[in-house]
Amino acid sequence: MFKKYIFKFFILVSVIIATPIYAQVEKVVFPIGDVSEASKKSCRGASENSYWHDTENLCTNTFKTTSGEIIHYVGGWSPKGAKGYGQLYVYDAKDGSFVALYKGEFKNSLFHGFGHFVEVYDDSNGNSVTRTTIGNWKNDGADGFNYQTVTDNKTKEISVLYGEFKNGAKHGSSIVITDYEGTSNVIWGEGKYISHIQSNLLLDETSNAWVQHKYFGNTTTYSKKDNVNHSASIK
Amino acid sequence: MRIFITLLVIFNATVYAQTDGELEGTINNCKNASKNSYWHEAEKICTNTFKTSSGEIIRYVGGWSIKGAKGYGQLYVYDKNDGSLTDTYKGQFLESAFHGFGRFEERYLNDEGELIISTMIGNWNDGSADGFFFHHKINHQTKESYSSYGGYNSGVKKDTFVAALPLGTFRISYENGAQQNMKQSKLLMDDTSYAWVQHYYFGNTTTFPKNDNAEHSASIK
Repeated sequence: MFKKYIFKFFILVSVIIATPIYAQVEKVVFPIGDVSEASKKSCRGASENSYWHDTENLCTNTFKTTSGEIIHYVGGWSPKGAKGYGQLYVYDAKDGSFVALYKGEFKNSLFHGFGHFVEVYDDSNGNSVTRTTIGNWKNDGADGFNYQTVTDNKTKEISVLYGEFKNGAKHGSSIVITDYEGTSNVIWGEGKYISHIQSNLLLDETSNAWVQHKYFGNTTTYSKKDNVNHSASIK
Repeated sequence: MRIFITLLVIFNATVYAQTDGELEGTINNCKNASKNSYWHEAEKICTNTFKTSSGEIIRYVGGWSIKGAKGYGQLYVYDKNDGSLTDTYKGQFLESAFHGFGRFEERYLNDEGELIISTMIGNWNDGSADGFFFHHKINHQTKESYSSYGGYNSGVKKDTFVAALPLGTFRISYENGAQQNMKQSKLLMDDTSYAWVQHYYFGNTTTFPKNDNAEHSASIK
């Protein structure tokens, strides 16, 4: 089940990188990126559908990839490409339906800094899922501690992960929370599952039960499906 | 943002000098944090539950060190009257403060008595939001939602935030936490991107369900 967290590395953004390097930055009311003439020129030259918008001091750049996806970027820019806050949308080139979205910080046209990435795809069982990854990014890969959810678009079942990423892959310790298996401490190595230990104490229900028991004299029973007697572990 | 400092209460002032190794110091520190603090050898985590002076019940479960909560942990805040959950933080701690990456969720009633669930996800430093954050609020009754992206410095909003509100998307500038300017952005609306792609690649004209009466299609280029 932890396979659903294997990271689908997303490198489309690097396609929007621009080339010339200039200098000079001017101050504007709402700077998101670099608004120098060099940035504007770089933005306009990024592709045949790239535009600098003076009214909002933003660049937009829209293009098709060789793999048949349409990318639309809107946000800050610099002589080296997308920079500062930006929004990147990915649409299916066949029908224009939504595929993925990133909102957050960019540098050199890569996800870099803090960002929120949403992607819709079919998992290994053919179920449509939406995966959201929020946290720190470095050169297009999730890097550092991140928060990730995977939602089954049919059943609406949600799994949650808090854990370390390195170069876009899960690496190190994480906490995984699912409806069916409760909470587990899962260890990863370069994106591959290594081991896990179930945790009763990290269940939200355990904390609630302990507080209800200790401060309000209530006995709480669990709706969990893992058949563990959680009350025994509360101390 | 309601700055959250109750956590500092669980900081145990006694600093243990390396006695029989760091683990033993950690275990002792955990056990002594309050009268309801326990070290759980099976999971190697500490739990600490206590009431604050204002009556809220705080429960921490997670990693520990000789200087208090450390590493991944979960902090719950329960209402003093009925034990209902009001706030949670799940993420990284250092010296019993939010420190590193974490997700903070709070629940409260607005002036109309409607339940608001507010979530902040980002990087923390010594208990304060510090760095770029994603902030989401939803009205549980009306389902209206708000989300924003922007930076904090020691818990104070700074520079430009991009906020998607029910009436449209706005860029809001802050200086020392005080709002300076607010300007609508049509280009940063999700609907604008979708409309442009539909128009350019599929020849479709898309109309917006937005309430701001703006002529969005005119701004698409």
